[in-house]
Amino acid sequence: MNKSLIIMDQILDISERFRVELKVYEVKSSMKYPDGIKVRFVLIDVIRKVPRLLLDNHSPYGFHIHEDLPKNKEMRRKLEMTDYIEALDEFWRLTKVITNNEN
Amino acid sequence: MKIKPLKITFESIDTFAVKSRTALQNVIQNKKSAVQKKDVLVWASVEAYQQFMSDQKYTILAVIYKYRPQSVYQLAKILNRAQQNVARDCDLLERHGLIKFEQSENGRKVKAPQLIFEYNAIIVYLPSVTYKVEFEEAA
Repeated sequence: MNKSLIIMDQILDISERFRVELKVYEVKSSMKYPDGIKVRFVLIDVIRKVPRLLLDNHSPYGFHIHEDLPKNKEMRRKLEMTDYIEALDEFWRLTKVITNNEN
Repeated sequence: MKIKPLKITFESIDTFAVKSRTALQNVIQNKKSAVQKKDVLVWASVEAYQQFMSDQKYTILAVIYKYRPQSVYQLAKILNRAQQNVARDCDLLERHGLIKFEQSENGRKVKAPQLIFEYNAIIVYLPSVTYKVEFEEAA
């Protein structure tokens, strides 16, 4: 079993309904995670108990976002950036759109 | 008895986003870990926290601390509230990181609500003032 080490874990409670979890893991470099870094940025709908928005970085997509959760788990939008910080910025941008519209 | 508190702090989404950006930079470039402490919960606004954290939820935490109920059923009995309502509150408290559910001590299948760690007070750091809710007084 491949071991992963959590190297970033930050949580923000936005409201009773929404919570953000930013997790970054150091993993063994592999086809799936060539950089040896796995990111999982998620906006959780606490009331409905589902992820509402998820950004991760596994191959073959690289940085991609699941923005039609929970309805459409297979729908992914590939992000053009390759930079972790830009990916995080995009996650926050979308989080603000969702929480402003749906809170 | 020494107070071991859970701390509630406040940062706007924008402030938290900026800080998370810096943390991520440190993690990626310098391999510097950025794991939030378990005894701190960060809320995006005072209003949202106050809307969430009703007196009933504070009482739930105090009763869990003081009486250590082995099920939500027992907890509801102590509180003299409908089990369904207590279960819903516990669910939200769990999902916001204030409690967890563990196998009950009597080995039954039901899970016992427990504090996320052994805290006996909550300290809320408002922008202008800090206040403390101690469970011995709240239960």
